[in-house]
Amino acid sequence: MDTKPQSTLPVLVEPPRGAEPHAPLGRGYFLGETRRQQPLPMRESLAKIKNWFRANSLWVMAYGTGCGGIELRPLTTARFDFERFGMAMRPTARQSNVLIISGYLAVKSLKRVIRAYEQMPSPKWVVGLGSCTINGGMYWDSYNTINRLDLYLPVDIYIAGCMPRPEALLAGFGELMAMIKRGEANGWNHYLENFDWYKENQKKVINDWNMPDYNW
Amino acid sequence: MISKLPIFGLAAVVARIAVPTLATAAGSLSAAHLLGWLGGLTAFGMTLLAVFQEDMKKLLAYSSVGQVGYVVLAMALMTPLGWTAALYYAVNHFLFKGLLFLAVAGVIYRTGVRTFADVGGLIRRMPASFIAVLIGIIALAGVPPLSGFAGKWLLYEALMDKGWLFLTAFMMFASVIAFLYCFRLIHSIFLGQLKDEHRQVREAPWPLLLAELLMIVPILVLSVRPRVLVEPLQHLVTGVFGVPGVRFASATTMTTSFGYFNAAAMMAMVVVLVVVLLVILVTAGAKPTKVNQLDIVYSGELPPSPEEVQYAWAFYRPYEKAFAPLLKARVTAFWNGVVDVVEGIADAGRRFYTGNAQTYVLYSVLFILVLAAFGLAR
Amino acid sequence: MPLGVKIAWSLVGVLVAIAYGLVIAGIIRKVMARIQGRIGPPVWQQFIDLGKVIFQRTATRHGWMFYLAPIFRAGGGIGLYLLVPVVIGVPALSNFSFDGDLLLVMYFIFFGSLGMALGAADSGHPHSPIGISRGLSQMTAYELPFALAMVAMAAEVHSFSIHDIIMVQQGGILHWNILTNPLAAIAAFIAFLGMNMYAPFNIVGAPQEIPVGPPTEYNSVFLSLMMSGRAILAVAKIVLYMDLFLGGAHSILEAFVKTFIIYFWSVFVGAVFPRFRTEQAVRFFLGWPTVAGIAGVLLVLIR
Repeated sequence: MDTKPQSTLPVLVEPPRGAEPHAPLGRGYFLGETRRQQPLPMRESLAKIKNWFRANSLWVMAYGTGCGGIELRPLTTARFDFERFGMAMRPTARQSNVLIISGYLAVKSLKRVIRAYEQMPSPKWVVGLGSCTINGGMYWDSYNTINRLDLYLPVDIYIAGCMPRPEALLAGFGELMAMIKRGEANGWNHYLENFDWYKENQKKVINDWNMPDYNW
Repeated sequence: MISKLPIFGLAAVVARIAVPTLATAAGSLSAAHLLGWLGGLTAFGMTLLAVFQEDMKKLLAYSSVGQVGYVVLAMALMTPLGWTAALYYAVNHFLFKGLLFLAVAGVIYRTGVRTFADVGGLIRRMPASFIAVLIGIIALAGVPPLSGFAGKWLLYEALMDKGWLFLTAFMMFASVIAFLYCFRLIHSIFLGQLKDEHRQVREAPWPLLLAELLMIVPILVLSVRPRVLVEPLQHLVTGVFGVPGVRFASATTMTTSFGYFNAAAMMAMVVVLVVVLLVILVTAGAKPTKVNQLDIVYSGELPPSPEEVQYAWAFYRPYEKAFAPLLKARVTAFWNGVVDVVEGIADAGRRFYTGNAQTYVLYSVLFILVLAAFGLAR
Repeated sequence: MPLGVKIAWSLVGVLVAIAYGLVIAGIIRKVMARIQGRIGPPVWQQFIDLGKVIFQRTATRHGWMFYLAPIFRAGGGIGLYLLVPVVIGVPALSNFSFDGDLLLVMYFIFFGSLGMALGAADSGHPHSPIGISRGLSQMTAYELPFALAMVAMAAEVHSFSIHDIIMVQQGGILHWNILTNPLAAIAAFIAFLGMNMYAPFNIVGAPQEIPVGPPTEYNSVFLSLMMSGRAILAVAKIVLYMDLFLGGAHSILEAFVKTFIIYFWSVFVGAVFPRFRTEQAVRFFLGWPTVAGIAGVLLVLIR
């Protein structure tokens, strides 16, 4: 697979800092990308049991993108305690299942969020928290935030409000768990199926795209 | 290895002479005991110094000195078990330290650098050297499946048998510190991030690998059957002491008055466990995708260069801080102290020469009086 | 007992030990939650986490050494468990403890740690070697009081055999080593805190600085094996402590009760203490716990 971004749009491609020494053996800036994963068949054996396990052990990526991050912290405290639902904060993307986009998302953050999302193992879910992820909210005409999150990442569930209280978050997580058990929360597969569309949208707003184009 | 030669010399000398015993107020203090603590302190101190080296060969050199400390300690035990342990340890150390020196020499030969911070991730380019170093450090650390454990086991059994309890615990402590530099050695050279200038490095030359293989084979044989070495050594030692320290309950089980250890069963257990778990890991769950070297969790970023994500310099900084009082250079302070004492004495002596003629007269009178006193006493 | 039957019993024992380890880890999460005034996860939460991790649909790996960490972590735990007798007088539950003495067991604890360190360092993540450098530093430090206590135990019965050490403690609670040599027991039980890596000695996975320490890059099936390995390692250590200090166990029920009590010692300490820095932890272990250990050995010598 060619390592250069494949968008047909005019995208300014700057090699990452110190990129030249990293391009040995003529394999591009990123040491050769690993093949992109194809969408998985959604039917799997024992899906109900597996989904029950997945729903009852949601590990949340400890990452607050916007002001909504402040609403996540109370979830670990005695008053709200999301650990009773089997949820926990994980500081590393490789072990997380849920990515919460907490509020407005600056374009710079979007870049990091995409990479964190792609490093998470499937199945994984995105929770849009607050109005800003739906239509931009009070930042809808800001020069450096995105307005609609689902153009860039497959959102499984939105929790509306500005900001939603931790109770609303818990209700949203309950709904997400119910969706996972029903086998409906398949945004991660949707992302793979429409990978090119998502990448095109992402590169439209991220001008200094210097990341590999993979997903697993 | 040259560093082992004095051990055999020491053995030859100690075997012939009676051990002098100093009678002190607190009981008898054996010279053997002193030699034992000397060996123990050598092992501890040199191991500690090896941990903080930034240079591969210096690390191995300090480590060798420390290991000879164990041999001296075992030799000082003056028991058949201790001597068996010492000789086994010396032979075994020759094997694994030779292996480590050869493998590290291959790395230095191919990369041209000796500092840990300048290499890294070489497992991708030099897998055979990596395996050699891996076997070497496992044997050095004395972790069970390989031959190093039998050496440690013999040493501790001998120490306990002799009743040197504090030295036993102290040696356990010192040999665990050796893990630190073992890990340092293999991690900083072979694991972590491969540097860009080493992407074309080739495997060590085959004569070197062949020599390493010649070291590895005896290590593996000893790991499964330490008896093949322990028995002849025991035979030698029996010539001096008359009674054997180690008995063989079965073909592979060694017993002493203190404990027992079945090397082959140990090896079998480890191999079976590793194979079974590997099969489970490969067959169960999702098939893993191999990701790139720089594709790590880096707060949603791509690491800018391998150097920036390779943790190699001052690897045990907190440990150094913890042991700071022990590691302070003391030679300068010692000589400064000597200078202070000499100056103090000289200063005290200078006070007699007041420059006043009357004091000198007084000294003369006092001198004559003292002489007269002696004369009267006579 | 034929070898085949013995292996079968050991396999059953290993599975039970993993399950037990996961349950006590779940109970710990519950207890911690209650101490903090929360409801906390169900006690079987660890099983759900394990199942979730196994059922993940994708996984990533680095080099081939990446496989080594979970294998050695689990292998070290299982091997340690197999070398420690669980119930006295029941050959099926004494595992393979006649193939090695206390020294072998002491060194087998390191087998898992060192293998885990090697594998995790291959992931190329800087947090792995940082965590390992902290972990190994702490390991050497608690080794001194631990070794002193072990030496005291072994010198008492003039044997490194765990069976002999258990047998000398029979005949009532007053014969237990924790009461006959309390100083060595203090040293060993403080070393146990460092071994278990709960607060104040949780400097390896220090959650605020180096996210989860060495296993930062591990996921799905690798992580599941690591979790099971950690569970059985914890069980093996507490069984060892039970054998050495609490007089072993005559029945499975007794073993459960005693191991539970030993484990909760570290949990209750961990619940109320903040974390040491690495050099503070090292100095701590080389301080009073070592003095206690030396006193314990002296107690044996003068007796």
